[in-house]
Amino acid sequence: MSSRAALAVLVALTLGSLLAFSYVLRQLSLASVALPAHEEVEQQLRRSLQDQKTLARLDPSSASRYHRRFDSTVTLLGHLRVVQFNRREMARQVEELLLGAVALILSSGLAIYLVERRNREGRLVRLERALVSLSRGEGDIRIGERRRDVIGRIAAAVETSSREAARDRTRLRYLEHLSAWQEAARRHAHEMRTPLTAARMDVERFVSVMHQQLPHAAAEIDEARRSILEELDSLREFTRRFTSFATIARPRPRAMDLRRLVADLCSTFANAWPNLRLIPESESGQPAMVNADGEMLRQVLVNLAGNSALAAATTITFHLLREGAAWLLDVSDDGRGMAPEIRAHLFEPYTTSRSIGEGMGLGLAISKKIMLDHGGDLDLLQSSAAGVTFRLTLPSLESLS
Amino acid sequence: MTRGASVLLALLLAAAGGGERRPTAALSPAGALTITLPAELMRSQEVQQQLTSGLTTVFVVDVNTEDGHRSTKGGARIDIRFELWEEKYLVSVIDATGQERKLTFASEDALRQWWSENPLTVTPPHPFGRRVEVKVTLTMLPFSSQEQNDTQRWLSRTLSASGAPDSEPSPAQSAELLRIIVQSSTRRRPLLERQWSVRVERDAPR
Repeated sequence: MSSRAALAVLVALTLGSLLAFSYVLRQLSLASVALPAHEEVEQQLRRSLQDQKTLARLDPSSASRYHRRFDSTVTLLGHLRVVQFNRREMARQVEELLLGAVALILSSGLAIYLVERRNREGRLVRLERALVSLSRGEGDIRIGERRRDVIGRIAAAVETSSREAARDRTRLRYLEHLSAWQEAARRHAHEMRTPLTAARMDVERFVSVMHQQLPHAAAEIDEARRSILEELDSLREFTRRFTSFATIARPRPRAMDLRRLVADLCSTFANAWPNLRLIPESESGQPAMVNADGEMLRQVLVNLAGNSALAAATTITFHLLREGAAWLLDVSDDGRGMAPEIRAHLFEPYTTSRSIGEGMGLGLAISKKIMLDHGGDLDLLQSSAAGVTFRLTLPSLESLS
Repeated sequence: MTRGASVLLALLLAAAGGGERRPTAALSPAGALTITLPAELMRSQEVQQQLTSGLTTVFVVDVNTEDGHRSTKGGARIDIRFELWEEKYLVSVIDATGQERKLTFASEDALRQWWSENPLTVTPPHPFGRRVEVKVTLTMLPFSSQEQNDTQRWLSRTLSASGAPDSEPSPAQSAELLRIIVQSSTRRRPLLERQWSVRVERDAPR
């Protein structure tokens, strides 16, 4: 049934109800007003008048009393006649009052319905636009619905989906980007591994020949050998890191308590960095159960702590809190912060604030990859001259089940 | 005109007048207009029923005169109440002189006789023209304004009061609403209305 037909039926039913109501009401009101002015009532009162006069005549000593009763009855009879005369008008007034109240209620209801309907159509149009934007892959859609009815819940779901889709796209782009870096690192490591091995073998052979040819220069030859092998070892270490970055293992998750892992890390590595205090904090003493590879999480936290130590921090705070279906671990230090130009590319490989030769800048990229592989994330929450805060996000164990 | 036609004309005139004679109008020596109402009015069933109801039946007489030069309005009022105990008719007349006369009649016949024989002064002395056209309107109201007010108060009090003597009184808003309904619906609508046109001719001076 179309909306117009439904509205027509509604109007017809309302009018029919009103007519039936007014008819019944008229009958009831006439009956109720006519009751006290019934003909029998008047007849009885007139008989009472005659009786009073007769009694007064028969008992003259009480004539004044009977006269007073007579006058009272006459007054009452007069009132009833006036009421009888005006009963239709009274009934009409009562009916008009009730019908007016009913009409007011109905019209108010209709007005509220029309306003609500118009409002709902507007909300649905905004929701439709949002769904079209979502289908196009737009992120961070805001509809601005405050009501919690069906439309409001759908709008909230659309907003949540858009944020999650945007986050997932960001993660996917990052992982694709990282994957490209990993492939490059793997090729570089592969290309460098064989020449390094060959070079090492050639150095040994050359040293051996030189010892035979120049026995009097054995010390110089050994010194040269040591220096060359040292450089080759550096290159091999460089290659090993490339390989390590290129072959980040998939996590082997199991149910574990994140709060206990942090506490154990703080006690195990209490003396690992001089002048650096590790402080675990949590909002409650309840277990923070997640499904994660503990070894890899420890690797991430150690990497962050190492960076804080290099930034001359004296305190690192590990603050654990719950937000919705996720556990958040905020790692805050009081170091010197990081330069603004680094923040935009912080999690890209080879981004580092250290000098060349002091680090390859792969730690944060590997850490972020590890967190993304766990279904969570690693973000820089804030950075200032007073320190930095990283946030690790992991889905809770119960949300995964 | 033949006898039959005269009778027919008389019957038609009587039908036009509702079967009643017209009131008669005259000018008093002082120049005031007087009206004598027809006796048949008192014999009609609706008037007789109302007269013995115990309520005050009010007859309002309104006149409009036109003598070719000017128009004049006038009127009078007759209140008749049948005193049920004494079984007498108590009459109060207020006419154009501004005076109120109170009369008592022991029987309906006496009342009817007074009604038909005593002219009502409906205008003060006035220099009417030689020919005066008078439009007379008689309205019969079923009860007086005092009786109307008394019934309104009684009804408001009765409807506002609860049935049981020891129960709480109704809220003030509902009592006020009832009072308004009662006051606006208790009205004195005329039970009877008659209109006549009569002519008065002043005698020419000799």
